[in-house]
Amino acid sequence: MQKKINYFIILSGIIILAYGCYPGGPEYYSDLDLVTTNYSPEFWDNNSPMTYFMPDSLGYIIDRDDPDNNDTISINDSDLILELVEENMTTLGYNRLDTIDEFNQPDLVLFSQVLVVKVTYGGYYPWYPWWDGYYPYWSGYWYDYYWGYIPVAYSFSVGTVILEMVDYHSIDTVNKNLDVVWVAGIDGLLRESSKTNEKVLSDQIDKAFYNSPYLNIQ
Amino acid sequence: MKKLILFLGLYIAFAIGSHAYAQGDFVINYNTSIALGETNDFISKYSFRGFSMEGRWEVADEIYVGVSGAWTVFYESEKGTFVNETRTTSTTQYRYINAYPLLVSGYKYFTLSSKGLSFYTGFGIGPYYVETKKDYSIWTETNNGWQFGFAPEIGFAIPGPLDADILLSIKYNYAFKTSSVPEFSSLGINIGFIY
Repeated sequence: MQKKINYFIILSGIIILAYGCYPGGPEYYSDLDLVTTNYSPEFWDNNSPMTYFMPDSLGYIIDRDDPDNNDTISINDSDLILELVEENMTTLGYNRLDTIDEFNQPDLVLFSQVLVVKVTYGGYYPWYPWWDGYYPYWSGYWYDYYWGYIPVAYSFSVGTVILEMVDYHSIDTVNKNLDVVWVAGIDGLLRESSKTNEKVLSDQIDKAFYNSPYLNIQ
Repeated sequence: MKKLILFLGLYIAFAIGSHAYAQGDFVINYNTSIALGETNDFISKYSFRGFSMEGRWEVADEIYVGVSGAWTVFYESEKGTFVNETRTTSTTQYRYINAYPLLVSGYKYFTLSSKGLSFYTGFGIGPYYVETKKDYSIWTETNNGWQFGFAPEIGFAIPGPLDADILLSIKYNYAFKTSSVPEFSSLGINIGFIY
């Protein structure tokens, strides 16, 4: 009987040891780095956009229905993000328009946004600080439009930078619909905004464009 | 924690069950294995995480039947860029396979020496529960289900201390694919004991 008890103790130890060795996955923040892109092949196969308009401030993806679900992160790198995005677009051969009017119609509108929704369940909508007021160079006022997303869900964490390109020529003002033809999500890039160094920002944003060779028009 | 509870429960059930039954033997193995075929396409890294338990009964001279449960974990991480249709993702991907074969097996022993050294060959069939998982950043993709499979095995039983025999074996596991779960196959080298 004593022998069997000894075996039992030894075997229990082996099982607990085996369980303790179960692989644990990511250990550091950097292990969670993620850059994902998606696009509309239909658009990029049939169009050759040359110009784009980009708001000169960072937008926020918010939960309009539940304000308590929005985080209050402070973002110190918004100008840098916009600069990096513009640099990449210039490298790819695009020309940025400063205004939109009847004589300046861009092919694309590029939105740079940060997700501040704490718990994401489904689709959330962008909000720009200037949408509550007057924006001198903006003829559109699209905050209540439906954004026709290609399938990259907003199931990211707070601080994720989301870049979205909209096909300007297909904006449906009657049905209030915007076609998003490219989207990039850089997960948690601003999760610790004050500590995010420029190199990380630069590398991750560059990677989003590098992973999207169909954007290159040169 | 659920896995630990599940296997402690199984272990206790086997331990009690095999000893409650007259002349039953209890087998425990430490399992190492390499994934093969499609399974290897998912994880190619050798697994050193696995064990199995078995109740084994002699039904005729040198012929045994056994009922076993096993747990093997395959794990691999890969930093890279992954393309899925129109979506491209650069990240560190963590891939896991948890395989749980539950087999009914038959064994034929061949005594090689008067000191008790034996060679044995066996063949098991039964259900496999296989869970595959991909983790990247905050996302998880899991695929799991039951599959029917089989497992041929060869090994040696070597007389050991405390009235136990040491087992050294090689075992091939194959589970057929289903509409929702791909095939699973692996080749394992196991060491354990039977008492």
